[in-house]
Amino acid sequence: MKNKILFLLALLLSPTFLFAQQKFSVSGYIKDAFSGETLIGSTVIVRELGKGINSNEYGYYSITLPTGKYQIAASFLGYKPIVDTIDLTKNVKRNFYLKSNSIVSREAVVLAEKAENNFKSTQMGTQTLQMEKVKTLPVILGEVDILKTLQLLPGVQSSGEGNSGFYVRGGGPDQNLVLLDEATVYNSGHLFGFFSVFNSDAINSVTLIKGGMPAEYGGRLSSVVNVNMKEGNNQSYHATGGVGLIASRLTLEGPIQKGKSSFMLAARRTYIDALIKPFVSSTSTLSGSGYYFYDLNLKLNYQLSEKDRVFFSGYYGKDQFLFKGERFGIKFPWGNSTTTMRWNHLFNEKLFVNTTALFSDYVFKIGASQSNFDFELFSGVRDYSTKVDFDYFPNIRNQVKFGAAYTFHTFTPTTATGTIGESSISPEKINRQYANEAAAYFSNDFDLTEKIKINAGLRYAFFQQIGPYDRYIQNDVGTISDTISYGDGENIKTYHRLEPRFSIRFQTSKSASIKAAYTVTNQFVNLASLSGSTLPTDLWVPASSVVKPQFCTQYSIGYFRNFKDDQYETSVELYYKDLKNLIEFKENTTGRLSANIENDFTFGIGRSYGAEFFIKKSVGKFNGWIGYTHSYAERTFADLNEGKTFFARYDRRHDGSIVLSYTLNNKWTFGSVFVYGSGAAFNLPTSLVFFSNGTQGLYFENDYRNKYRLSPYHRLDISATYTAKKTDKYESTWNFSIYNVYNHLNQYIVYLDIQGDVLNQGLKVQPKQITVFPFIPSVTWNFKF
Amino acid sequence: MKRYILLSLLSVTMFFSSCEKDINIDFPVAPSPYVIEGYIENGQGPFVTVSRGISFINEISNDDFLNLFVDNAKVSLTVNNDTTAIYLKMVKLGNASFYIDTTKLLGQIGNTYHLKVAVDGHIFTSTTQILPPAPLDSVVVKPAPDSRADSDSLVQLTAYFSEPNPLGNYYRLLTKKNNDILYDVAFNSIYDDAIVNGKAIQFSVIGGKSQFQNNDSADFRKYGYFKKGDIVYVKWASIDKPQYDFWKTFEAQSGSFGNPFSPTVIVKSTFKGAGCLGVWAGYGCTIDTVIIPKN
Repeated sequence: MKNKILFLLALLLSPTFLFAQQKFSVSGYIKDAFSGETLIGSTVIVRELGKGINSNEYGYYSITLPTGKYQIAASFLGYKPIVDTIDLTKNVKRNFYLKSNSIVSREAVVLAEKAENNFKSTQMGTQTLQMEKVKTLPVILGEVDILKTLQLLPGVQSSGEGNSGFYVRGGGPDQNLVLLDEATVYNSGHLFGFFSVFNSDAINSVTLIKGGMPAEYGGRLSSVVNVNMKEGNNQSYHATGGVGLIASRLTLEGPIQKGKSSFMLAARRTYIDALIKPFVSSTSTLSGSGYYFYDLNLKLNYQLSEKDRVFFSGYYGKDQFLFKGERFGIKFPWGNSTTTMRWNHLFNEKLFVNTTALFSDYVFKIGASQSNFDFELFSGVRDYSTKVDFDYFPNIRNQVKFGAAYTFHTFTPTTATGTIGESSISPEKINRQYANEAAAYFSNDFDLTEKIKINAGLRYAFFQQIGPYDRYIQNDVGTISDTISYGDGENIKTYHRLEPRFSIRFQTSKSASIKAAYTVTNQFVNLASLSGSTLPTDLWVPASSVVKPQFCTQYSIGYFRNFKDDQYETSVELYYKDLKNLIEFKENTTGRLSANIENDFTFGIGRSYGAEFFIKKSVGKFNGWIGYTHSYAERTFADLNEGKTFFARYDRRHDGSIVLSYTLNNKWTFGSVFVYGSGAAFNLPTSLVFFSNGTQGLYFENDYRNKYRLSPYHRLDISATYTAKKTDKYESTWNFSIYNVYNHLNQYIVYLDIQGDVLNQGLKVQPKQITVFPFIPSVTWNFKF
Repeated sequence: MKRYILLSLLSVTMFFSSCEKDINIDFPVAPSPYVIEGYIENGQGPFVTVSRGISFINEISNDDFLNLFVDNAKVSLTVNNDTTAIYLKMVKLGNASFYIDTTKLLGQIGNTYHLKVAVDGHIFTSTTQILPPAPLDSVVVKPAPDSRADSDSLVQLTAYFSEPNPLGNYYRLLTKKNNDILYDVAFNSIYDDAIVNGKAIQFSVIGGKSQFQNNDSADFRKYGYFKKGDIVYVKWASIDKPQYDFWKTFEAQSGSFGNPFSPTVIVKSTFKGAGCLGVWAGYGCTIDTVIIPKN
């Protein structure tokens, strides 16, 4: 292991110092000419060398070259490229302000990724979606949802019909690192995941990394979903908004100081509660009950100097359920809040640094009251983090990243407080869990030869659970037999992990390459979920002396090829994942209040493997993609399913989608989505059993887990976007969508309906299926001025 | 509890679009399990039933149910470390069969009882203990809330209880009215002391649920309340953890019937031996008799 690491470091560093000629840099930012918005991941190419680099997350690029005259081209898909001749006899600052094609000539594009990246970069298993481009696709209930669009990519599966939760390459729902402006979002769904927390108007772009995770990311096994909020137009004031069937949105943006600073403020709220109200009579038991959610996004940025820029971004979202019954009332709110403060600093043309302070909080609460009874349950997770990330551009052959991060976690278990009559049931102390998490990384993306490009990196991860904490030791029947109390700040358990990351691209022709990647990841925080999907009640629990970090080694290999002058991108990727220390609840857990939830866990291993096929056309009036995944996801737990290997709930043999978009003219754009997937795995009992008083129960075989399948899932959605008016000052569009056009009654869930009474009239047993979303038309009006 | 509230609200919120339909499922063919149910409490003899499960068919009649009783089992008990087995006698009541003691064996506080059921070549065993009872301080009659149907004629019972230390006690609440033969339980009959350990608490004594099983049209608004003039017997039993786990999972599973969004709940049997589901339940109990005034 040690030798491997030394070799890796040598490999990382060696190419950095190969040249010693007189050299200068051309550097700057790449931005949208109209709004000043950063174009993340845009490309800068030196025509003479046929080589280029991508701008970083802040749109910054830097290229160091020997003295000379160069043609530098900055491009971003969906934007008109700019080519500039630069005489490099000293360091040059050059910002590129690109104009969107929709302004230049109205040409719709779905994806805004430089097509060449498909086969030229070392990156595998990565896709970036540009929010503006996703908006022409069909949506359910009029709500554009970036997480649902991600599910249409190969290797990504929906966690359920209409759900924004997703599984990546056979990994669990908690194995996705969802970042909003770098802050971890612990619960990315509203309304049990039917809507994501990302307001489409506030989002600039989303990048999904499902394999070959670069060293700057860590902490989750399966994927990174990096969501970037819009910065706000720094040239002029604008309002964007929409009125949909269930929610409305309004975004305001503009300069604080023209060209230097800007703000973006976005709000969204659902009004299902208001819509339902007239249909619920005031005497009905449902009167006074309701549900809504809302989101607020705020982003501010300010350019302090040529070399310094600061950003502030915040998200606050909340779901609220109210239930007023005759006997009791329940109120439960839950939601996330995140805050990000960033400071970009340029030490010199070659060294860019971003320092970040982060706050992330997720809270779930449920309050109930009755005449002599008052009760509140709450749980949550809270993070304070800081990180520093360096981008170093030593020369055109190397792009180096290094940095470090630290997070202080606080996990609040499900805690009950309240009063029953005169007695208080509040615990004397809440048995919270505290942890330190830290990481340091280094990576280099470099050309080894003309044909071989390598991205090599190493990440060191550290995790430590610290006191105060009470651990309850259970005897073999599960009664607490002893308590170990840890003091304030006392080290309970420490983990050190090294994570090598390696990917290589071998260019086989002018438009094709073979890539391979090897990724090791550890996950120190886990979601305890009984349901397979994520619910707001699910608890986040840290690694501890009982819970070991989840561990994954992923191997992937792929062939990437572009056709017809980069108009068509294709790829085939194969992956194999070896998973360890996976967590499931013990067989008979019912989700009770547990003093130590870890006592309800059991641990096992898993593997997943599959093949992903992808064809994409990103340019032209007619564009879209076809994706297909053939995959397996298996789990083996000594204490579950008689120790026999079983398929994970998210095992999906076939999963495919066809996404098409067609721009007819300046007025009309059409979209369609077709999805086909094998049915999800579920459990069936084999017998009905009775007790002497006639109550019945269900009997499952010992190896019952996920043996049966729902029927295959498929549906077609279509949409039409009509631009009613479009001028420089005002834009009005209508989106008409039909979800599930041919009304296929997909099985969301199958269950047994048991009615009657066996002691008297007898019992009726009927299997039933529930379809969540049949044929659903919707219309949304969007405006911009 | 919150999980179920949440899930049922989820069902409510999806009313605007979801739909339900009957389907056919090819249920797996598997040997039907043995179901054992046995009780022993302080001052009472043991009572055991053995039956079989039934594979899924569309309708299960009362006759089908009675045919599930098994009358050829050999059921025996040993007490503490005794080696002598006490065999229970099978008695029939119509088609139903029960196993009871005829040697005047009565449950004693502190004793451990080992149950062995031998049937059709299988052997199933389970052990329970009669734990020391933790009596209720008092049970008090209170008027039913005005909003209840017939609130004039209904009352609610409130129990006052000083929960003893240490953490890790489990209880089951049963009630019986007037001349009922059997004790009945509410939909949720068990309690633990996870959040009330060592505290003086009060809680509602919820009446039995059987009226809702026997009669679909029973007024659910009366559930849990008692009538003026009733004599109510409140049985409060200390139970062991395996038994608690059985009822906990059993009630969670029953609570999930008709709730399609509930995760699969597997009932945790107290018996050893494959192909058996059941509970061997020792109660260390006290019984409070509450005479509810007619007015």
